[in-house]
Amino acid sequence: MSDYQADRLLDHDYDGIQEYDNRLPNWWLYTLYGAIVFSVAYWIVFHTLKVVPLPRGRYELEMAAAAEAQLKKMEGQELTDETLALMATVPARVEAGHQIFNQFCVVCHADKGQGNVGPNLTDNYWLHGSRPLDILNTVTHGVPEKGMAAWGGQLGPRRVQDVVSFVLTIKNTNVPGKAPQGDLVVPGEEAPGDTPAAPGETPAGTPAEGDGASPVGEPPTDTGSLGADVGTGPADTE
Amino acid sequence: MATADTGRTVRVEYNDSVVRAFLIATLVWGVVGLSLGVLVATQLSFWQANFGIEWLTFGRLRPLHTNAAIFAFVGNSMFAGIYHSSQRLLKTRLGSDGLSWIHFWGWQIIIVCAALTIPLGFTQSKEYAELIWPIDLMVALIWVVFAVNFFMTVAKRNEPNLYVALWFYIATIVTIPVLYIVNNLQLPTGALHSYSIFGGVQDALVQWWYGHNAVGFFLTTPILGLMYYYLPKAAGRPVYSYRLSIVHFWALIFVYIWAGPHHLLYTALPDWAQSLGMVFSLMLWAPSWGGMLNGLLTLRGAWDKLRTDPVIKFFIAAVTFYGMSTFEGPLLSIKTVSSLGHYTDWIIGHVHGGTLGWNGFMAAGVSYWLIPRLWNTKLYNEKWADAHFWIGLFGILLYVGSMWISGVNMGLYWRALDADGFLQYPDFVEGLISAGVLWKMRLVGGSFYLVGFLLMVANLTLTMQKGKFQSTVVEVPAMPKLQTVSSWALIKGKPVVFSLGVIVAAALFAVSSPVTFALPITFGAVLTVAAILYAGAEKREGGSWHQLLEGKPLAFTILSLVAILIGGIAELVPTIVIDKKAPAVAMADSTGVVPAADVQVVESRFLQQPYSPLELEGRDVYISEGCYNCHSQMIRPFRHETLRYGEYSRASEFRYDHPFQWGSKRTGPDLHRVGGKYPNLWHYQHLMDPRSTSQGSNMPVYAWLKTRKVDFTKTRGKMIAMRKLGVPYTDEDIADCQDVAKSQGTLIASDLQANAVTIEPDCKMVAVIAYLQRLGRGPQPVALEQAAAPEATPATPETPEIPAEPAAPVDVPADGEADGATQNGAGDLGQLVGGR
Repeated sequence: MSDYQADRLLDHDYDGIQEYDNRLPNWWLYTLYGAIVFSVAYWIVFHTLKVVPLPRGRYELEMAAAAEAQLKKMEGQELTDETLALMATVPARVEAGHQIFNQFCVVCHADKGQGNVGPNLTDNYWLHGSRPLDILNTVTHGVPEKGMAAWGGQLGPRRVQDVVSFVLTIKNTNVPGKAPQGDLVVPGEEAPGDTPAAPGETPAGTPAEGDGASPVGEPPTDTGSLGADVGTGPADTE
Repeated sequence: MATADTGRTVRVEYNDSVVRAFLIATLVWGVVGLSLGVLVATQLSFWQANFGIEWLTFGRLRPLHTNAAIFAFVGNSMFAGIYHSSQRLLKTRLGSDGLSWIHFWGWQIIIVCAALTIPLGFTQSKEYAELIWPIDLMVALIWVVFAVNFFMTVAKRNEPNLYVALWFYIATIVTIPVLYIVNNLQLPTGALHSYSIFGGVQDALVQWWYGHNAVGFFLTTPILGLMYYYLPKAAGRPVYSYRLSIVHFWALIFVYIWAGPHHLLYTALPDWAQSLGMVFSLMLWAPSWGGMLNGLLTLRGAWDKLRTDPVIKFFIAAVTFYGMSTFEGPLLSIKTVSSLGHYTDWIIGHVHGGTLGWNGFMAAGVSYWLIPRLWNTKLYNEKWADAHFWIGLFGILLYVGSMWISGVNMGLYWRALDADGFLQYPDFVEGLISAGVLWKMRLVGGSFYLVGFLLMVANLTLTMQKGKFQSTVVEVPAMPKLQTVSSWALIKGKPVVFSLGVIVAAALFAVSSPVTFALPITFGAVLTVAAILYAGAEKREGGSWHQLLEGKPLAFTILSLVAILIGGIAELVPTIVIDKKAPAVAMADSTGVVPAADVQVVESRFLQQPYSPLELEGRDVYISEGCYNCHSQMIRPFRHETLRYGEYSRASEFRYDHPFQWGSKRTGPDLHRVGGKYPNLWHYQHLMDPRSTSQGSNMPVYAWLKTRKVDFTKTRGKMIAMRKLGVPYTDEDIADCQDVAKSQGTLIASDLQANAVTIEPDCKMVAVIAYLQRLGRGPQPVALEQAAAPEATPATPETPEIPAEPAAPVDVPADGEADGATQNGAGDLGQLVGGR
């Protein structure tokens, strides 16, 4: 190494082609080393320590932020199924609801909502309606004759909404527990587009291919059925 | 390199005839490949340009264009250059004249077969690997012929050491078969049709491991080899740095192979593989630029030739484009950049910078340098060559520039949200139309390039006529007797041991926990420093370890093979093993067997169910028409994609997709959740006249799908093949397939009939509609009464949807989206059980 000399020819040629043995340019080496160091750091941050979310985790955040913004815009408006469904896509509200659930509801509905004194909330059988507004109504006013207390006064509307948001996320997760009670909810009976041909559903000659516009102000319920896959984070990442 | 010179000489007559043949083939196929490019570019701007002929649609000709450009044009130029330069570098005639000619004619026959089958719709639908299995076998066979011929040449060389160009040739020769064979593993169902043995995510990963490394080892390494021979020859200057050659060669071939997953960022590919693809692409930047540096810096002291010598002009421009592309590649591999650039024209611009700039100009430089020499004359007209250079350069810049702008523009169109947080441009076609002028500029740019190339063909043809071809005869010193080290001693040499140690440390690091990760990093760092101090300084008798290795082609080849295998094994094997397991876990869950907290389970609504016989046939029509060339089936996890197309695509939704159909470019919208979005009539009208439903669309008319019949006698064999690949068709499914296909076809035909469309239930149109309506959701009715799945799935209630949807019809357009998302996996009830 010490006898290095720039532009010194090696004592050989290949079909007349000679070679120098010059040092690798420093900037080139730094580029190489820098990329390696960056790669190691990237792996540590994203895969070893997992301190920054990966694409599917970011997606959850992006969707939640949009839902929150949407909810904010709808503040003061009458509560609808869609609004509640939207709340169920906001992790902060679902988490708050989960804590309220753990505090007040576990006694009768058990830790995962699989039912104990009260019915199993994770199946798809419902005694007093399965729509978000139905559930909200049940929690708020209770069903005294069946032993379900009215929580509206004690918790206040905000906390009731949170706990409903949480319940929507466990609905139909089918945790083994108390046997089903009430009516089986068979969605799809009236859900459009059940058969491949749903004539009249979308008029033939819809002008655009690939148009995906939800009407302005429409909550993005197109991310799935209410509470279907929210609150539990990225399900199938990694 | 101290070798005892014996003083004995041998007379060698090079086999230049086969070089001549390959050179002429390069010119011929170059014109074909470029003309096809101009034609398909025309079709993008003017959809009528297929003249209503099904064999000339974009979906069929685009694969022909890419295959012709890569394997016919660059392939022939590579073989010409390798055969010409290797003989000179090894100071011997080619190993076997017979094998050389088998190689030449075999390759041309393969090209002709490709040119016949691809337009006819015989395709595997894997990009740059579209050729059907009989042709795949021919490719593998001819490549073996090439390899044997090359190594026979090496074996009888009169030059002890291998020059750097030969290293790159060796890496090419050993890597291509590995890539080609693995990616083309397929189960034939007939003489012209097969299914990839990999499905879904696995198939995607294998394909892009292949696709990316086809660029690496077909378009890059052999051409770098050519650069290392022809550039210093033409410039008359020594190569800048021997040690740079060593470092960038090994780094390049080792790192390149890992970078494939950068084609699949934000897809359903597991995150660890995506991240590997990204970081290895970044680490590939410097090794790639090592080649550019050695090329450009070799010209020190000869820059004046840039003004006078067209050959040098082409080489310098080519190496510069190589540098640009290999910077742009890592840039595009950064996840955030990929989120904007993927599926857009940016990628098209990127690859054309590489192929037109690097490959095309290298081929031109080599041809301009070589043909006058082989024909013992001067170039017919230097001014024409100069003109070719400027016309071509202008063409590339126009092409690449317009594609960059169009790509970024399109990416921004797709993601733009309005003040309310919804799509600014809900109509996909809006983005398409905005690219109109840029696409025409691209067409002009490509045409310029073709004109320049034609000028070269004319110039070189006249040169050949003017001169007289003669194979070169030389007197060379005979191969000296060497005191040799054994290959094994070199293979277990310190550089190898240290490298493997660092690789092991890296692997340990990758799987280490948040507590332990510092250990393997330290271990790796210490090893690296030790390697530099200890192994680097080692001197042996007869030269350094690498100099000795250059005299041992077998050891060199083995080490190259090991270098390229590591990345492939590390990425492919876990994906294939893990992915095979995942659906089983998920299935178990849907039956309630697996405790919820234990596994991160796939929601069962995201579990793909097998296609019905008609849908399977429709899928084959989709494949055969090359729909994947313009339509993706992979919705990425971005809110704007969810708004436009529905929920992002899950890996489990593709488990029975042999081959996968994710696509890589969106000239049309994504189709993964198109099922149920529109009525059958919409699809019928859209295929008969795309502009009747989508004003401004550039999609070809597919009217012939209505008159062509599906051959249902083949369905049974296809289903049996699919079952062998793991699709759970029952005996009954297979036995009944023709009846079921017919009844489902009748169902669709009668629905269309109700809308005053007369159509045969067994035509391809009906099959493809059945397939499209199935995309992104569960089994569809195959007969009138039968409401539920024909397949093994129990008829369970549907989605966990809120039942009270009567209020929904308010938002008709959004419904399609909602359906696509929620009804996927209809017939299955599960919800998220994933614990965390």
